[in-house]
Formats: sequence, C-alpha cells, structure tokens
Amino acid sequence: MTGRPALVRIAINIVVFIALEVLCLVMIAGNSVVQRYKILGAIREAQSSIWQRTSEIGSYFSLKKDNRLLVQENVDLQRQLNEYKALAVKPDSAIVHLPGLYSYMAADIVKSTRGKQHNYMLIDKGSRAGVSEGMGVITANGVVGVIDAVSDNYSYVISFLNTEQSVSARLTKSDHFGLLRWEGVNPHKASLTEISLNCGAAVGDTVATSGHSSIFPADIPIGVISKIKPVSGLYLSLEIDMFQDFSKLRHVYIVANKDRKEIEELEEQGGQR
Amino acid sequence: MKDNWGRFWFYAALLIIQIVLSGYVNVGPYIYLCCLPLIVIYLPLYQETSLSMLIAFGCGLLVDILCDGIVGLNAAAAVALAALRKPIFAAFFTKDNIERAVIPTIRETGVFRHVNFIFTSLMVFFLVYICLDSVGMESIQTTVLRLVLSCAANLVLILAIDYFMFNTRR
Repeated sequence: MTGRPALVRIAINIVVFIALEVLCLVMIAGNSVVQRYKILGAIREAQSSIWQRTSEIGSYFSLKKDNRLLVQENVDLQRQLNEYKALAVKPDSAIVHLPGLYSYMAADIVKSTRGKQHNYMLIDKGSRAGVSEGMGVITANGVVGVIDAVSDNYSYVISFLNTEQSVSARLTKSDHFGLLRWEGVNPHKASLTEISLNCGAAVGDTVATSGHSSIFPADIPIGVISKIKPVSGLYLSLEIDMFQDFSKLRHVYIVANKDRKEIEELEEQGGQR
Repeated sequence: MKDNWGRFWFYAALLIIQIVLSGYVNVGPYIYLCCLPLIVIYLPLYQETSLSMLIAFGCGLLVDILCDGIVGLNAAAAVALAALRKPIFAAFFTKDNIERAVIPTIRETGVFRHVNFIFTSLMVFFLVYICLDSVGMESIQTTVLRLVLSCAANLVLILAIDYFMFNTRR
C-alpha cells in the first residue's frame, strides 16, 4: 500500500528531473555556439550508436531468413552451373553433362549420427516436397548420402559415413574413376579404390563425383588425396581427406535425377538379357 | 506565515548577493563564487523533491539571466543538486537530524557533518556546472582544479553566510 505512492513519487521526480535538464540543455545549446556544437555532437554520437545497435539486433533476428534466401540462391546457382557445364563439355571428356538433368532442393538436417558404423540423418523435406527414395543428398563440399525412406515431411538419409555406402568418384586430373567408400574409422577420411596403377595420381590431387550413377551429378568436389597405396600390384587405393566436415553439417541439397526411373528401367532390362 | 516571509527575504538576499558576486567580484578563471547552491541546500527538507527541482530551476534561470551568463547553465546545476539533495543529506545526517532540521544549518546539524554535507553538495553542483561550461574544451587537470578551487572557495562563502545569517537571526 505504501510502496505505490513512493514509486509514483520517484517516477515523478525522475520525469521532472529529465524534463528540466533537457530544457536547460536546450537553452544552453541555444545560447552558446560552443556548447551547441558539443551537445549536438554528443547527441549525434549517441544516436548513431543506438542506430548501430538496433541495426545489429535486427540483423541478428533476420539471420535465419537471410540464411534461407542464401540457400535458395545456392540452389538456383547450382542449377545454372549444371546447365553451363552442359554447354561447355570438352569433346574428349569422359564426363557428359546433360542440361537440366538434375534438380536441386534445399533441406535442413533435423537429426544425425556420426559416431556409428552405419550413420544416418533425418532431413526436413519429405514426399510432400517431392522427395523420393534413391535421391542423392549433397553440399557444395561433397556427397552427404542417399535418401533411403520418405515420410510426408521428412526423409531418412543413409549417410556417406556408412561402411555400406559407396560413391563413384574420379580423379579430376586424369578422369580415372573408382569407388569411394568410408572406412568406418575417421569421419574426415575415405578411400578411393580400384584406381589403375598408371593413373598418375599424386598427393594433393582433387577427387570429385564421376557422374557415373543416376544419383549424384558429376564434378561435385569430394576431397584431396592424402596417401597412395598400391593394392595387389594392379590397383591403387587412395586415402582421401574429405572437404565435408560432417560435424558442422546443417543445410544440405537434395539432388534428383529427372531421368532416374528411365535409367533404372533400362538397367533392369539390360540385366535380364 | 511570518516564517514564510522570512524565508522569502532570505532567498531574495541570497539572490542579490549572487548578482553582486557575479557582476562585481572577479576572482580569476578557476573560481566561480556562487551562492545559488545555498538557496537549494536551504530549501526545507520536508519539501517534495520535484517542487525543489522546480524552485531550483527558477532560481538558477533567474541567476543566469541577471548575471548575463549562458542561460541554463546555473539552472542545470541547481536542478541536479535539488534532485540529489535528500540522498546527500541522508548520507551524512542521522534520522534525528533529519527530523529536527527543517533547514540544515550548522546549529542544527553540527560543524563536521555540515561541512561534509555542504562540500558534497557543492561538488555535485560544480561538477554539472563546470562540465557543461567547459564541455571538452579544457583538460581534465584544469577541470579538476576548477572543481576543487570553486568548491573550497564556495564552502568558505557558504559557511560565512550560514554563520552570519543564522546566528544573527538567533
């Protein structure tokens, strides 16, 4: 009961104090050029500081939106890049890009595992967004996995960090290709096997997707060679330092081959003969 | 009623002293003699702080206008002192002092405490006054020197006024 009038009194005192001091400052600024210059300078400095802080806070809260816009922009750029690559095919290249063969869709990782032999992740796009089983999941830094199961709003992705998963990859220098597989030990390293001895591979060479599958487009950089080991005198096994750090993975792209069904049907027919 | 008139004449006398001091007494650039703080300090303690601030603002403005200074400078310092007058008083005096001393004089509060109280009040007043007056044009050393010298000189002046006015009235 007694607290409220005291609070009101304090509030009135503060208001009167601020009003009178502001009035005094206005009068001082109006009566002296030096004081006006200094007071207005201080006010402008305070104003710009407040604006800067407000702008920083605003930027922080719009980060998520900006991030989504950037991801969408990346998807569009990826699509355009794919089309340009198709136009700029070297006649002697082993890799053939078909214009508009792949479509891209951005997704966020909802859940993922990294410490197992068979890792997986859940992403926030499902059949309602047009996702289906067998589609690839990539980032700009490499292959992430393959979609194994789909619900309305989510998809289950078998991570590349799965000892049963392999990806067709090639040496960008020589176009020799082989199978890239995670060894199940170090999440930053994979091994590229079945590379012929005369490929001319050297430590530091880049490895990218080969495009020899209906899942992943060609030329997605995967990593660099860190060690070269001959296997049984016929092939090389290359240890690859992967570009993709799976522990920092949050946003991915689902990549869909528009002709995948047709390719698979053809493969089935070929297999029956 | 008689007491109110007495107080009015007391404040009027202080204002006249202030005008004389500002117009005719020149004690150099480092000392500003001013009895405006005394007017604010001697406002009755039972008075609301907001009303004290308004009175201090009015008196400060009058001094600014009559003494041909920068309008608003004394008023700003006086308002700041009026706002902090009660907390400063509470910091130096006992509850008994506060209840007995309607106007804080040496006679009511004792010399040592009174000097401390007046000196702190002068520090508040001159801190605002000198900061607004110099606004970054003077070095820290000059500002501190002005502050200390003005406080010391005005302490002597206020104690003299206090002694003569209130001892005579007794």
